[in-house]
Amino acid sequence: MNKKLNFGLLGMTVISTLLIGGTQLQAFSAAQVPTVKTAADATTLKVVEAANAFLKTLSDAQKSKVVFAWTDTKQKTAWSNLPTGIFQRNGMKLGNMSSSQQTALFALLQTVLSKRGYQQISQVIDGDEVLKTTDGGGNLTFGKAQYYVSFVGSPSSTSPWILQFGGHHMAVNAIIAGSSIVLTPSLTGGQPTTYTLNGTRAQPIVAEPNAAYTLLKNLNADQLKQALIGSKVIDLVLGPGKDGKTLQNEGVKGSSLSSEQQALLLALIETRVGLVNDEDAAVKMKEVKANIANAYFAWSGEQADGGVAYFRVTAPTLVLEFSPQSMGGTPANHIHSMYRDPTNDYGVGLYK
Amino acid sequence: MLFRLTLILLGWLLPFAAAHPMDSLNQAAYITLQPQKVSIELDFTPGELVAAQFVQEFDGKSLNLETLQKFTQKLLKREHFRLDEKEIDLKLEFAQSQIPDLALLKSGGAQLQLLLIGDLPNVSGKHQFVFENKYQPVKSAYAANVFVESKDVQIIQQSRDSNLQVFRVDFQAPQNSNFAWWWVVIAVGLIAVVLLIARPFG
Repeated sequence: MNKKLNFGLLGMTVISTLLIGGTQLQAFSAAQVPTVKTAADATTLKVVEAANAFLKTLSDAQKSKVVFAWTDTKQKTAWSNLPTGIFQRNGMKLGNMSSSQQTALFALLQTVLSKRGYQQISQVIDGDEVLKTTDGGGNLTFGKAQYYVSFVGSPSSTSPWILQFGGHHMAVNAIIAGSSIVLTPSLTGGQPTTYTLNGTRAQPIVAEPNAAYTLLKNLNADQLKQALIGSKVIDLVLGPGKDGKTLQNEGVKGSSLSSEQQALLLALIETRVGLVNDEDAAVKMKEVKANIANAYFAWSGEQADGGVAYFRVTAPTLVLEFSPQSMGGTPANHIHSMYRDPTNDYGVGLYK
Repeated sequence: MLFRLTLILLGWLLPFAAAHPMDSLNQAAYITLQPQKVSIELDFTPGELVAAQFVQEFDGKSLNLETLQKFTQKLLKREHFRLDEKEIDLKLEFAQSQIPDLALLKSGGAQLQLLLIGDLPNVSGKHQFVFENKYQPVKSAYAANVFVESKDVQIIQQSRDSNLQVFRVDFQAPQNSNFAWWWVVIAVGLIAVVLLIARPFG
């Protein structure tokens, strides 16, 4: 009887331990790799497919350097506008890829970005090739070969993951979670922003400042007074390393703009939001439009057409900054710009 | 020979120009207003041509606690943080500051980030915070912005002077009555516990 009781107790203990342990493991796993809130759609499935196709072109050794764990918070925030020589990126650089690997990577980027977005980053990279010929040397390395790709988390339709692509003046962080792709936070910009390469003239960043200036010159005197927060150019406030900060609203408020002026503000915002593919851009723009009354537009710098100025847009779910850099040469030819969502940087609102 | 060496050194340092302006010190202030407290992050990013001169502001061969406390004291004679025209007492939080290697800072390849914290006791209702930055060891570019971490603090208005060296923030802090209310709840709870324990012995 005692033996039976002992075996019974032992059995119960083992089963209990397994159950409790399994529950803990499940909870632990859930904490490690969260689940997305929405089901993947055709766009995100295409992105996952393209990402896996790219990863298939890599050797095991290459893959181990490119794919980081979702829990790697250090890698999540390891992005910058700085060139190689000042900032060392992780992952795999274009310069170490075969042509088929590059082709697969560019195909992946084309599924994430819109046609215009892909063209912009391609032209910014080409601009860095131009910079290599004019400003290279010393400790810095410019050029196309210095643009890196990395993944935080593995491509999945049920768990969030991040595609990181960046180099000088570029840090595209594409968070793919369920049916959503967001680019917050991402840093874009370029130098030079007007150049000729192989006989073709390029101006990758012209639509945005033009849209900003169009809005500025359509403000009345009172609105302009509210919009102007300074007469000097300001550097980026929420650049790399400034996660978790919510910039307080300044400038002219959307609710005080006419419907035509609001349309101009939306057009400005769209120049940045529209870097992501059309479907996800439409989702974001719908959200921004619904809150346009609570958006703010601020300007600091010269007001003349073609003048040098910093501007920003802050809204409940969006922060855009545009900052010309005074580092020799024409500031308008050297831009740093930042795109954030204070409610959803790194896609935190897209998974649980 | 010295001229050639200088040219070689500049030729090596000049590419760092791609990072930030060579000939000025970027001073950026991140001011976070919280109920009963203000935290101020001060970022100093010297350009390559002024970095060596900026580094002379620090006594000593490294950026340690003692050096930075002395620097902070010097700094606060030129940078003023006021609440309703009264100077705020700020302390350096060394452990939470980001301190680069002094040699790297001297080369113009680094940023010094200091965190200062000040108490704002019994602050409720409408107030004005003013940051006045007269610190200029070398040619400087200034920026200041305000942040909040609690919805209880509301920013009403912000303004800057033309040089971006004076930054005014009008804000509304939460009323303190909630704090008193919690003490009442705790006191009532304690009295109830005592009565319950004492009751069987009555």
